[in-house]
Parts: sequence; structure tokens; C-alpha cells
Amino acid sequence: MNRVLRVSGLIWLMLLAMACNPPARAQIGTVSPEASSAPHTVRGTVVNSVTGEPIYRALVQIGGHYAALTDHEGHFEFEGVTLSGLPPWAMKPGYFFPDRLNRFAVAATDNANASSETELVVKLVPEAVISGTVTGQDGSPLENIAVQLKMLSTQDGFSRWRPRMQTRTNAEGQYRFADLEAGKYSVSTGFHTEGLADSRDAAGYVPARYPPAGGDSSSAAAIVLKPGDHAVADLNPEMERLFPVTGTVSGYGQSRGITFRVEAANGEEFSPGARFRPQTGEFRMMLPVGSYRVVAAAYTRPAPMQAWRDVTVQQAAVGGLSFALEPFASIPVDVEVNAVNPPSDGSASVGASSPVENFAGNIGLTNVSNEALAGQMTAGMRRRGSGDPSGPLEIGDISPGRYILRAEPPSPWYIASASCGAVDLTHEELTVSGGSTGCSIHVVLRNDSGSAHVTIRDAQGSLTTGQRGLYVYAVPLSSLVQPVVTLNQQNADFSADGLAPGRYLVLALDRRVDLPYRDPEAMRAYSQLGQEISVTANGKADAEISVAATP
Amino acid sequence: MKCRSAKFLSRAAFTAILNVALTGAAQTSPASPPAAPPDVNLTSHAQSARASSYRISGKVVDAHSGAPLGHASVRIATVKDASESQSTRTGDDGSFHFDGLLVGKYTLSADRPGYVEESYEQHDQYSTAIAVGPGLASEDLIFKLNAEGIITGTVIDEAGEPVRNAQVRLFQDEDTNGIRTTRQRETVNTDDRGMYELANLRPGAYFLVVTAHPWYAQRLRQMQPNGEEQDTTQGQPLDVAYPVTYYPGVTDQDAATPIPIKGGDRLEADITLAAQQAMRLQVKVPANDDPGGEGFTRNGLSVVLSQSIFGQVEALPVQSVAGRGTFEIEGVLPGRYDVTVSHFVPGQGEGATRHFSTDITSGMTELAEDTAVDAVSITGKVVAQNGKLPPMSGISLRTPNSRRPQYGAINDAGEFTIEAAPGSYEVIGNINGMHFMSLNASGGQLTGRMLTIKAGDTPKLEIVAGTGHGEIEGIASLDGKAVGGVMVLLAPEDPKNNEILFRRDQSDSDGSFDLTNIFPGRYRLFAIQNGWELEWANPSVLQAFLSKSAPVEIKAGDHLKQTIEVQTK
Repeated sequence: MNRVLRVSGLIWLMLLAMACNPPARAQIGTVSPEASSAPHTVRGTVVNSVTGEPIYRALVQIGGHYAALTDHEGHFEFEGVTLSGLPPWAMKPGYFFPDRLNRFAVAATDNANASSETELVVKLVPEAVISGTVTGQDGSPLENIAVQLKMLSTQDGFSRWRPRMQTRTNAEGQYRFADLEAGKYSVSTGFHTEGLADSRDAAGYVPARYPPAGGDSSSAAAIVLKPGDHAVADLNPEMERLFPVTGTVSGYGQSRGITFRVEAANGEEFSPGARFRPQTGEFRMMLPVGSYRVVAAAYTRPAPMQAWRDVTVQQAAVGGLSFALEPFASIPVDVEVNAVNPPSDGSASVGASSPVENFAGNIGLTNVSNEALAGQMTAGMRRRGSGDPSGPLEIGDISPGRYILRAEPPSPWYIASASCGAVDLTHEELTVSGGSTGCSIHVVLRNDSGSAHVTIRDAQGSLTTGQRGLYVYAVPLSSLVQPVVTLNQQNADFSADGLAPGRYLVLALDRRVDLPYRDPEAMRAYSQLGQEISVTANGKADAEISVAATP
Repeated sequence: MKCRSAKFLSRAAFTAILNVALTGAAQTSPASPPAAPPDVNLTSHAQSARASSYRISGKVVDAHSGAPLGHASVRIATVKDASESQSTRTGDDGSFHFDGLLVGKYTLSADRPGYVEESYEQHDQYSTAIAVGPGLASEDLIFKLNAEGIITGTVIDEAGEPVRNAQVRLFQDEDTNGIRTTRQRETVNTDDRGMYELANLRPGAYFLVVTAHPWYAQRLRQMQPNGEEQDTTQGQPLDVAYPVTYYPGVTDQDAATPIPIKGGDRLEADITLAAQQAMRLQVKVPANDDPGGEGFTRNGLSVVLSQSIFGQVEALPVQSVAGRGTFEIEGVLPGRYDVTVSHFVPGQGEGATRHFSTDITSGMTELAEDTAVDAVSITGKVVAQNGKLPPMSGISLRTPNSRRPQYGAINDAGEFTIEAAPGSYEVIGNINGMHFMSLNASGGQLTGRMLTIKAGDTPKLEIVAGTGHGEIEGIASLDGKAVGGVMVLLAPEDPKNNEILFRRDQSDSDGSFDLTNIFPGRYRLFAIQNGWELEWANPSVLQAFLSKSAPVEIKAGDHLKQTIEVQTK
């Protein structure tokens, strides 16, 4: 048998799905997903999950061995199939297969008798589309304007607008984003200079957003898309005069380029198209009236450099700004291991060999200040001085911003306390500016974590066993460091250990969801759906809850 | 005059403005509020010479309809220093004027939404600069601006469904180098509706070429009764590919139909792709580097298939599968391909690259050793006639159609090596400020600058490089009257084998032209009205104009003045 590598294509998806979801495979109840069986026929229909209409020319596949396109009635049929355990799945441009990584679980439940000769129904979820026209103040279409699509998504417990796609308007001022899953979106135009940027009457289109942003951006109005929706969002950016903003940058070393980023007061961020002369350090950009934070960065080696200035443009040129670049900060870290409980496995260490070594890789900082970078810009732990395995620990290359500590020690260990100088990192964010922060991070690990016994009952009081889609979460209420804990997803009566002492909200939801657990405002929708418990050191808390519909 | 692109001009303009601004800032004390950088303003210069100031005026009109164009932005800049510029907007009647100008030459350019930005009487990278001064006509100019052309359309598949993410390539006939070639302009991708738009097109003849991969294409592993996989070579219904498809839906390049675009045209061009049974190409992997043996790694082996589209070699989107001892390219249609096999072994330095020219005809074609096109190694030595060669020098070989010539750097000893496939190449010097005084070859056939090499040749080039480029300035005139906007062409004596020696300019409004950077040698000078559409590097085309051309001989450092009689196409 050939060992086959397919560089692109579907087999990879299959392998990925199998690797990611072993429990679901077990649920199907077969020995192996590719077990062979007596030849049988697999037939069915591919339908649109919203309209129920059959889908013509969908590609249906079983493993990497059987594939066909559906006919006009959405029908498919494979004869002489000798594989069992792999339900068919389908694809077609413009549709999503529901919960791709959970394919086997979904298919197995929908098609409980996948190996018998019954009529299967494979549902595909239609994509959503946002399109619109960008016009100037006189109603004329604006060509070649950048349009950005952002999606409200939750990562690391925060709901933030994250850039999703970018495009440009065509000759008719139109833009279009397709291939969108259901969710909350916004569209905004980019900063666009009109005519010669250096001329005396330079003007530009300032960014416009739909729907308009208001106050706290995470709660701002959004374009809410359901599967199959087509939303139209027209944008009408205003033209404003531009004024030169000039100055110098120093400390960029051998770097030939400086990246300038401008954050407007409303949180929107844009690139002003600044010009920089590395010979002299002078820069020049054009900005409309307003208040901005201008960030200059040089991505030099070994450490990137950055500086920022707050700038207000008032109907006149702004000159003489100076940016003295500083290396990104680095913060020393020390980890104190406090083995309160006697080691049950004969080892008092975190992990097998070195107490800190195995855990250190899980310590880092997550940027929570910048919307565009939130959750993406993280800094991880390293040894100071390259290559020295016993050197002191530090978190390096931390760009200025607000951060929370990220630390997930293996069970039964937990973060008993974490601080940087006077800042209690279990409850507060850490603000980092350029250069040295002056504090070092001190983390205390303990192993006397507690546990919770959870029972899930339906309205009649009986255990909800066999419920399809059961997602149980323990949301930490008393620590900023502790991430949400995903508990057993199959049984209605179980115990979970390794919980750091503290208060939790235990939830049983009918859908998998990325909870905005670090945002108390956004969590208000969940607070009545579960039960609050208090876990003590070496203690056991009980929770008895029922399955709630995910808001 | 020859102009640089508008983008380049504005960047140059910025640098100069910044210089002015910084000079100004340096004179103020650091404590004083920073002054706004003064915009460079031609009228301020003119104030000192008000008595003898001049005017450029005219009207911007639609090139096609002649209708006046209001709200167009018009910009002038001095030829000497492009940063000395000013701009204005046309009135409702399309009129514009710049007053108080000093004697000199000015480039003129205009732009308007929905139009293609252009310089005055622009042809390729040339335009007519406006000379102002006593007795010179610089008013009542008619500036014709072309409305942008737009080609839109939908790409559908054999079932009538839109094809997403198809690559739509736009090619255009052009003769920038004096030989008509079809060159790629840009590439766009179709959207979820299969739609594309190519906008901002200048008038011309365009070709559309679509490449795409069928979204449903599959090559299945068949199961044998014992549960093992069986690799079959029979055609499978979903093992298909789209051929390179030319507008209006043909797969033969010669049957491609050009789409003529006039200013303001908006044309629709839909293309249907039809999937065909795909073939495979199998490449044997060297025995000691079996990709199947070491798990799922290909160990640095890469195979690229390319095909010629209008003479341009384009890599094709294909899938590759590594088996035991082989490397397969799937989803290939029958035809002739250039196959590049690169083998990079980590830690062993540079990898080996071999080229093949292979016909794929059946279900599975094995890459045969006898289709290898082994590169010829061209060596040579460059001697500088006086002094040293500048650093970063090199020699390149180019074919008339290639955009990426083969390059060899010149080392400290003046030696170079270039690897190239057999063929005919023009030998080009990439030596700053120097030209070839002599070029000789052994082991290959050399005519002028054209070197022809066959497999097995060991060509050696001897080059003597000299300094001192010549220049010719003059006036293009017809019956004693200066003519602007004329193509002025300097052609080498043997045009066929010396393409690099051609020089061109466009006469400015006072008939003046300036040909620079001329390598010493014998030439003929032409001035041809409406000559811009000619295949001027084609000797048989030039033949018709030969009798009225002027012979010139340029020696190193010459600066000649020459008046040339204008002929009409």
C-alpha cells in the first residue's frame, strides 16, 4: 500500500478531523473509522440547512475512496461501499459543512444507521454575504477604496472586533465579502488620500464604519448575519482637509524602514502612508483634524523598537514631533513551586523532570489593549541569554500596551498568586511601556487544587444522558489569570478535579461556545443559566444544573 | 520628452519638498512653534521676474467625444526639477491655466475620476513637454484624456455554475520595445458569483486568459477487496482539470480573440470553462531520497510545471502526490510543458535544478531523461578600457519576450558565468555608466549582440567596456516649422541584432528632443509623425523611412546638435 501525501485536498481535512476528535470516533461505535465491511449501498440527499432545498452538484465523499457530485435533486448514491464507520460528508462553494472539526459527531447522530441502506440527509449551511456601495458626499461612487470587514469574536475570554477580510471597491464603488459564517460583523472604509498628498489643498476620505461605532466597541451595533443572509451596507465617507505632520525618529539603528500606525480617538486604526528618510530620520505624513496616537516602530534585530506620541491636528500643520525608539520591554519571571500536598505520584515537581521547565512554556502575556491585535499579540517565556538552559526566565519583546498574564499549569497545579511589583496579576492588568518595566513577575504554584461534582438534570429531574451536544463550562469568577475550564462533554454525572480554589459559574450549554469570560458585562447573559460554586483548597464543591440554550 | 511614472514623480516631489521644509525649519529656533512646510510654489519664483512671465492654458476634453471635462486635476512640473510643481482643477468648460511662469519647459498631466491619468500627448513613457518663452505657443492646448475602459464578465463552469477564484489574466498587444508582443498587464480573481472586473484600462486591444482548478476535482484511492488501496491509472470522472482558456472560450492560443477597448468602453466578456480528463506526470525520485520512506516529507524535492501563455512562461496550479520512490503531478491536461525539478537537500548547500521539455499524452507519463534540456554554461570576462568596473556589475542574456533575463554577476577579476537553456539571446551589460566597446565570442554563434547557443556548446565571451555615453539634441521640423509630439528614433546600423542600442524621445511643443545615454557607434536618426503605432525595431518596417533619415556617428562623450526632418507615417 502506498503511503500517500496529498499536498492540498480533502484527505488532509479528514486526517485533521480524526486527529482532533477521538471521542466522537468512539461514539460511532466502530473499531476503526476505516474498518471494512461487506459491500453495501450508501445513498442520500444533500440539502440546504436553512431552506431544506436540495443542492445540485455538491461533492459527496466517503473517506478518500468514494466521491461523486449530486444530481439535480441533490441525490447521491454509492454502490458496493466496503468501508464502514465513515459517514459521507459534502462540500460545495458557498456552503459550509456544519462544525467541520466535529464532523463525525454530527454525522453520526444525524445518520445513526450510517451503514444500513437508509436514505441519508446531509445538511450544508449556506454562506452569508455582505456587499455595498461606497459613495462620496455628492453621491458619486468611489473607486479603489479599501474596505475592511471585521467580525466580533471571542478569544481568551474577550469579545473583540477582529479584522476578517479586506477588499477594494470596483469602478462602480462596489465591494463584496462572501464566504461568511453566521456572526456579528462591521465594515469600514480605509483612509484614502485624494489627489496629491503634498499639495496645499490635500484632502482625504476619512474612515467610515457601518454600523457606526459607539462608545465601547465590543457592545457597538453590528451587522448580524444568519446562514444564507445577504446584508447590504453602503458607506459614505467624508472628505476632510489633510495637514502635514512632520518630525524625526531616532534610535532606529540600521533599520531602513519605520512603520507608522495611527490610532484615532474612536479606536479605529489606520496606516497614514507616512514617508521616512532613513538617512536623516525625518518623516512626514498627512492627517485630518483630530486627536491621534501615532506609533512608530522599527522591526530591528535582535529586538523590535517602538515609540508613540499623542498628536492633535487643529487646522494647521504639526511639526517637530520626535520619536525616540526604545526596545520592546522584557520582564524577568520567577516561579515559586509550593507543593502543599504530598506527591501522589512520588514526585514533587510540576511535570516530570524540572519543576519549572515543563510549565514555563505555558506562561505568557496576552495583549488586551489594542483591538486589532487583541489576543494575537502575545509574548512568551524564554531564557535570558540564548541557549543557556539554566539562565533566568523572562518574557521578552513585549510591545507597549495592557496585558493579562496567561498561565496554564498542568493539573493538579494552579496559580495561587501572581504579581509584578505592586500589581496583583490575578485581578489586574499589567501596563507595559517601552524599555524596562521596573518590576519582575512572581508566580506561586500550588498543588492543593479542589474538585467539583456536577450533575445535569432535565426539567423532570432525571439525568440528561445521551443528550446530543452537551458543553459544560466552569467560568472562574475570582481570578483574571485562570482560563475557563471545559468540563466533561458526554456524561450528565461526573467529577472534575484540578480546579484552582475560588468561585466559579458552572454552565451546561447546548452549543460549543467561546465564552467572553473575562468580560463581566458580556457574561451577564450567562449568569442566570448556571450555578455559582466555591471551590476550596483540597475541597469538593457540588453543582446541580440543567442544560441551557446558548444565548 | 521622456517622463517617469506619475507615482515616481510624486515621490521625487516629496523628497524635494521635505528638503525645502527642513532647510526652513533649521533656521527657526527649536523653541518656536514649528512652521508648516511651505508648499513649493512656482508663482513665488515668478514674482522676481514678473515682467517676463508666461502662461500655459488649455482645455481638458474627452479623447473620444471631445466633450470638455470639468473638475479634472491638472498639474505642471518643471522638466529640470519635477518637485517644482503646481496643480489646479478645470472649470466646468474644461479650461485650465497656469500664470506667471518662468521661461522653461513644463510637463503637464491630468487626472479625473473615471479617466486614466496621463501626461500631455502621452505615448508609452513619453509625452510632449510645453516650452514657454518668447514666441512660443503654450496656450489653448487641447489635452485629450481617455475615459477608463472596463472589462467585466462572469466565469462559469460546464454546468453553468459560477467559478470562484478563477484567475483572469489580462494581456495586451504592445510595442514598447518596438516589436509587437503580447504582455500580461494584470491578474484578478473572480468573486463568489464568478464575476471579475478589470478597470482603468487605456484604449488598446486586450486578451483574456482564464486559469482555474475545478473545485470538485478529486483523484480517488480505489479499495481492493482485501481492503488495501489500489492505485489505478484509469480515468476517474472527477479527476479533471480546466485547460488554459482564452476569450471567447477557446483553448488554442491562436484562436484567442482580442477585445478592442476605446476610451469609456465597458465591455462584458463571459467565459465558460470545460473540465477535461486529467493526466499525471510521474517523476522518479533519486533512490537515496525516497519521499515515501521517510514519512510524509518530500525532502526538498519540488516539481513545477509551466506552460507558455502568449510567449510568457507561467507556472500552473497543480497538485502533487509523493509515493514510494516517485513524485506525481496530478490534474495535468495533455500538452507540452516545461518541467523544472529542483532538489534541495538540507545542509548540503545549493540544490540541483534540471529542466525538461515534456509532452504529456496519456494517463500517466513518466518524466523521461531524454526530454532533459540541460543548461549551457556561458563564461566570460569583462575588461574596463580605462579604470575599474563599477561594483555590482553583471551581464545578462535576454530573449525578446522574457521579462526575467538570465543574469551573471561580474567578480573582482571581471569574470562571470551564466546558466541558460539553449536558444538565442541578446547580450546585455548591466554595468553602471559603461557600454560595450567590443563583444566577441568563441564556442557559440554571435551576430551583433545576439548569441545563439546549442546544447553541448561551451561559449566564452570577451567584452571590453568603455565609458562616455553620447547625447543628441535637436529640433524636429517640417518645412522649417518645429513640430511637437513627434516620435524621434535613433536606430543602430544593424537593428536586428542590437535591440538594446535603440533610443527614443518625443519632441516637445517647440520641436526639441534630447536623446541621451547613447553608446558610441553608427546610427540613423528618424522623426516620424504618428510613428507611435509602428513596430519600429522591425528592420522591414523601418526600411520605408530610411531615405529621409539622417546618418549619425557617435563617439564616446559626444554631444551633437542635429535638426531632423519630420516624415509622416
